[in-house]
Amino acid sequence: MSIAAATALASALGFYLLLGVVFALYFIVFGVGRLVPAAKGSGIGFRLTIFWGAIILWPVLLFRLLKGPAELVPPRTWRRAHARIWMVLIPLVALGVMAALMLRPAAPLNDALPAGIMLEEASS
Amino acid sequence: MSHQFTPVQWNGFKWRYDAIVLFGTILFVAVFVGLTMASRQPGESLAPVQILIRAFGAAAFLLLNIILSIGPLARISARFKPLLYNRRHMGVWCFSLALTHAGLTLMWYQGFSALNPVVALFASNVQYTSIAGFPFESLGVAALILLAMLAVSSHDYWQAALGASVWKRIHMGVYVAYGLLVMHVMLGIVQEEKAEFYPASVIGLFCIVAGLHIFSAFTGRVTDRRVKASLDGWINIGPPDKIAENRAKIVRTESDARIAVFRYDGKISAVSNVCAHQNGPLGEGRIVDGCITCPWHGWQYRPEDGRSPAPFEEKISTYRVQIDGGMVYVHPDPLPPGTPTKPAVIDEAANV
Ligand code: FES
Repeated sequence: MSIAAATALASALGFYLLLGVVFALYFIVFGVGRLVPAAKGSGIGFRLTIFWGAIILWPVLLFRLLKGPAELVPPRTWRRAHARIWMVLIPLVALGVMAALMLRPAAPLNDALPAGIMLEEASS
Repeated sequence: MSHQFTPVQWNGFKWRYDAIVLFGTILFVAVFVGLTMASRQPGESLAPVQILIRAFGAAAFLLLNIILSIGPLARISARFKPLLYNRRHMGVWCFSLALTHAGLTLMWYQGFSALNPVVALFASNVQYTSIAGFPFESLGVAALILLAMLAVSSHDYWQAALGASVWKRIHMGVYVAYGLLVMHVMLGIVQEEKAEFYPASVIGLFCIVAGLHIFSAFTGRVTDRRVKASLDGWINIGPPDKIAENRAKIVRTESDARIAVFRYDGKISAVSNVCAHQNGPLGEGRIVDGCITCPWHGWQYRPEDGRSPAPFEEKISTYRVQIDGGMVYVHPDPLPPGTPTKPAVIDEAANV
């Protein structure tokens, strides 16, 4: 990734989290009980626990606040979904592991120098 | 249960559970650091912070393997069920260890760069077509983001706020994170180090975790065949004495629903096998103080109406039951959650 692309990615990530902090501050005061009435009147400790989640999951929460609470669906087990995930995960990981072993260098790579220093050395 | 949300509903078991996990982690990190320092060959240099980076990474990875093994182990043997009880604290702890590993890595490897460390991380290696030089850090970052989403949404509140289905889908991301982390290690430290210990332990752990999941799915299927209803629509589940007192027999209907048929106080009642909290298998729990008690985190429901006792408000589906000719029958159509149903009385039936 070029430095410009990496900078754009890091900025986008920072912007997402900044919006998340602003939203989370609103959410832990006003939104918590709007989505789940049982959480109305809950204490500061609980609201601080929710704060971090609201920073990361703010788009889903905003959607829920605008569209209303999630529909109540009967709970179900997820056995079939688990089985499907493993059916995909096992061959994918097996392929990746085999490739990593087959193309592994005979001599160890040098990791003594921090990569940042190597980057600067390479570019100078 | 959810009548009042608190940060953590502590009890003695949770304190002990967390203390064991904390002590186990400290022990693991200490042993890892000691063994790594002792096994260094003369001329090989590894700064203390690099050893710590590896130790925290290894601890997080090992803990994730343990977390992923608990579910299938509990399905294979009831002895492992207590481990399920506080698994989410382990998940949050696993994320904290991974975050420490990532933070130290960023400081040590990118902190000396003139660039922003995050930018330097993504820009310092672009060999995406190479195996030995693959920027394995990107896999670790992706896994860390997924683990962060799981950790921050582990409180019960999130299940209610996001909806059970969205919440579960987010939490299924743990398997993607696991796959990414296996490759993070295989393309990272395994390429750097000649010692066979690293690939052997990663492959060994993956085989154990995958093997447990396959084995538990397979054994679950054998003991969990779908049961056909008879012509009049009721399912015969056998004589009442085949169900242990205060326990249940689980039947799987043709429409793939699981029903837990409980025997208690000379009566039979049937409810959905799926707990409203996190889908725990209610039929593997028992009746305590007159309530069906989930084996995972102890949520309770009355067998007659599938409702949690006051002040709680959770509800699960109930099913109609009857005893005829000494056999227990359950109707496979679920009644709306919380619907009261008449229990079948065993003694009465015996007199028929
Ligand atoms: S799944 Fe948590 S109490 Fe049932």
